Amino acid sequence: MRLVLVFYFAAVAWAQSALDRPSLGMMLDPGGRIRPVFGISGSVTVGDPQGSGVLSVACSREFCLTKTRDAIIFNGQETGAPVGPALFAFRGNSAWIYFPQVRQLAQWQDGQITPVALAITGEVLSLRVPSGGAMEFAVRRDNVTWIVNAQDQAVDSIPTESGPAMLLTDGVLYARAGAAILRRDDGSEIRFPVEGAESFSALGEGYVQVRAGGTSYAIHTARGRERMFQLPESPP
Amino acid sequence: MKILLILALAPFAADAQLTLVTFNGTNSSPVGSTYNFGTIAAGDTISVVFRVVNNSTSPATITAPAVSGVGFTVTAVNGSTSFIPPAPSPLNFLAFTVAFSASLPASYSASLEIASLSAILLATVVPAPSLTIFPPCTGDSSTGTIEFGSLQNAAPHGCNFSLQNPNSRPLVISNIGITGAFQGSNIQALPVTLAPGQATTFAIEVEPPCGTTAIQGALAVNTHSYAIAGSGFDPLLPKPSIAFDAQTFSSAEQHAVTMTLPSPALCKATGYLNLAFTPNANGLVTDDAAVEFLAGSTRALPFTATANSTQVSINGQASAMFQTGTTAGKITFTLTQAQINGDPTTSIVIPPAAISIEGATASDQRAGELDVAIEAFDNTYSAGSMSFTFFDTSGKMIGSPVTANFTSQFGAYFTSQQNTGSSFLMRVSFPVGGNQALVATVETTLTNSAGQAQTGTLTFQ
Repeated sequence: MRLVLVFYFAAVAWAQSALDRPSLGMMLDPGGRIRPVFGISGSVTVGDPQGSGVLSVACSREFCLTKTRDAIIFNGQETGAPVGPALFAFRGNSAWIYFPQVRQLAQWQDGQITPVALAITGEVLSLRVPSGGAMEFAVRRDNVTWIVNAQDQAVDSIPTESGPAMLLTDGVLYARAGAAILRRDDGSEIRFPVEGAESFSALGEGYVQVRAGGTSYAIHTARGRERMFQLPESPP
Repeated sequence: MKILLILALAPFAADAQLTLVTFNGTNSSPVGSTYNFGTIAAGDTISVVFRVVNNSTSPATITAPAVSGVGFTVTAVNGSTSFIPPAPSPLNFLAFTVAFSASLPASYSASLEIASLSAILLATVVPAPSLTIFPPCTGDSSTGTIEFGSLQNAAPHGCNFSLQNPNSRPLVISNIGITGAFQGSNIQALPVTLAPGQATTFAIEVEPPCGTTAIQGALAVNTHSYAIAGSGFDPLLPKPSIAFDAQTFSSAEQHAVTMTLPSPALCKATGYLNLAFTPNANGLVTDDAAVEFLAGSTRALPFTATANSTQVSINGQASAMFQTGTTAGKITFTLTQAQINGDPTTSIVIPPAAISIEGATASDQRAGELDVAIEAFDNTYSAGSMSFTFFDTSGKMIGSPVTANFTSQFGAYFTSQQNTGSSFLMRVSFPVGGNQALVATVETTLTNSAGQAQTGTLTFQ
């Protein structure tokens, strides 16, 4: 069999130029503004604010969603949503959003939000939709953090009593004892020293923003390229 | 006869409304038949301001004051007129100054007359000791000021002085007083009587605090006073050592920089720690914006050296984090806006390196296309040459490696990025004829002026 391989260097696949400036995603600064983060691990620059009054933000490979007081924003379009922050889980071009303040789950698709019934007990810290799997939640009950399925059945636990925890595609990131710990589903762990981690958010595909005090860090969670680095503080 | 008497008394009735007082700038004191200027040293001058006050409701016209006596002179009269408005005008007085000075020790007197008023002025002159000023202090003969010169703040300074009796008879030193920023030391117990030609010594010291610019004080010896003056300046900050948390550096790293002093700072000092970047790229870029301090995304952070400490805080912290960017070159750290004893400029070198691959994927999700995406950076800005080697599902290489040279495209891309670094996301697509599923993996080699980098085996998925 004859295989013809003719390469060309052009913008065919994503209707973009063949050479682009890499983007890690969006970070949330202490002033509630989201800013694009450009570059690669350990060498990033932060762009101008893209929005303000943001309570939560998360980005997948395909897109970003931001949550203001009472709206979900996608590409500048607002969709009314319950008040308070939000937790996100992406799957392709859709997302699942949990509103902790009203304990409500919803599905986001093409700018529409559809409430979804959920009977999870405890404080929901994070959610994920594994590829080809069912939705899972990280919940805290009586200072014990569990990973439960949509039927509220525990499938795993996370050894953190009070810090933030975030479910990843193939593991979990949680804070404990002056470190952010990346635990893979195979049980391996990587510790990143960071004191006082307060929150995790999906900076972009394979990147988690860690906020600790007035400083933000990014943890690259891609397997084999795990690394934590500091994000530039926003200029005044 | 009766009429004439009334006319003769009229001028005296008017003059009786005038009184003579002294005025010290704040208060007035009536002058009786005598006024004593006190005791002064030979050669000194003492001045007293007198006022003639009109207490009547009519204006008074008087002549200028007159003083007769050795050493006494009228040195000033307020204005050219001697017309005094009636009370209660605020200007119902005439002021004048009488100065006294004499070089020979003795008792002096003079007569002061103005209008119908008169008073006897008295003064006593005593011998003056001779003051010798030793280096580094000097005496300004024109102003009579003792000059300490330019003094470093936060350090002690002193000068020695000698008081000698130049007279042929004993001289009593009853007072040696130092005021202002200065202090006296080694002063003999007073009073002390100096025999002719005998001297006594003492010292005057000063330690100006940090931030002092002008230093003032006075030395009083008996009745004579000397002004003391000097100027202060903060000492230079010992040359800080700018240190890092690593010995060698590469692109895409974050490091901490600290500053320490070889000896404690005598005074607090502030300034800026600056970072500058000089790329050694091939002319495509002039900077790399990612080379910056992470605090505030800036290239200048304030630093503070605290007095009596060797530690220097940067932006209020013990250290400051910075990025090395994605461009080979030199990062230079300098200090500005602080007076430093030496040049603390420190540089680190970011050497050229082979292309660093952050991530790579291979996709066969598009019919008839194989897509390879590579996220990387090239700190030499010379990328472009690359090769792709395809393998089938059995691991056998398909054909020969496909080579390409995209140097011009990379050059255009780097130029368009306006000094934001050398990171790039490259997408390459390969049209495929035949059974696309037979192509299982690809290995990519990227070459720049510093070497080669491989993606490893990428599985199409």
